[in-house]
Amino acid sequence: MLRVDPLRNPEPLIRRVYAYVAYRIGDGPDAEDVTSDTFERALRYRRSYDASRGEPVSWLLGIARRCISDFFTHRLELVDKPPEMPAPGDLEDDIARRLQLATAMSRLSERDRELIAFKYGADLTARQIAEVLGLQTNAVEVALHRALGRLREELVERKPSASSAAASGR
Amino acid sequence: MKRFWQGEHHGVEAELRRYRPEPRPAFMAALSDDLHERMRRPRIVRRAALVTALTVGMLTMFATFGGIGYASSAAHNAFHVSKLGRLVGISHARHSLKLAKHSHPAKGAPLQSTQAQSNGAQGANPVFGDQYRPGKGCGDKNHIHLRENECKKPPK
Repeated sequence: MLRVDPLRNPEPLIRRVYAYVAYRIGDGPDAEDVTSDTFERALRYRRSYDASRGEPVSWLLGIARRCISDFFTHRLELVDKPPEMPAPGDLEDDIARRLQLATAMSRLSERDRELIAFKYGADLTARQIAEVLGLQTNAVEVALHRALGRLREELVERKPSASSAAASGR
Repeated sequence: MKRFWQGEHHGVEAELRRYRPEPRPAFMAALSDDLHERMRRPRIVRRAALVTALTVGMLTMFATFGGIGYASSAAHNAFHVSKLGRLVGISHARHSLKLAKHSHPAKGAPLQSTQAQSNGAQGANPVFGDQYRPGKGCGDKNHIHLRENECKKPPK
């Protein structure tokens, strides 16, 4: 049987895995470390990849989940710290909004963050997420919907407080 | 229902897609190069192993079925049979004698002289003892020139 190499075209996979990791633990050097670790392990165990059980990206995200879990166990003290919120006006709107999103994400539960990272970071469908997590597709869709609702609440909550902080600063 | 959900969180979804974290180009390039490099290495090792295995296999096959000895003896025989070998002077004196003994007895005198010659000064001559003896003359197509301009007619 012809063996499929899951890392044959790594560039798009790196992007998707990085985006997933960054949504889970935050953008930056930690996300880069975890992504590198993921591909390091993938390279070591690529013979264990079975094409009949899913796409290479799903297999990689399974490895990335374990890497993130290891990351959290080793750096437990940093997990609960949300990133610093910049005062609007100091940075470009785009960057400010990006940071708001990161802050709101960091306030979500681990489960919600994971679902959002799968969907909007790694670009997986609900069905693919269900395969990775071992859930029903319908259950994933419902959980994802709730997670998005909570994220929206966080964003709405943060917006007025941020603008009021800016107003008090003036 | 699904569409309703999507519509409900459309703004959040758009933001999540728009601000999707992207890896730094330097990090992308470094990781990608590293992966390509490390994926290429086993292929080279595999190729070298294949070449070695094929060579060992072929040598084993030859050794098992006597291919090496056969080729060696064939080359040896070819070397001895060729005229070139004889002209260079690698003929056996014993072989020449044997041939002279088994030649036709009708030519008694020449045979004796041939024997004498082979034992004598001309014994080292590679052509003596062969079935094509120089006595056959220049008209023979197998005649071998021992001297330069041997068969050239002298000018009148």
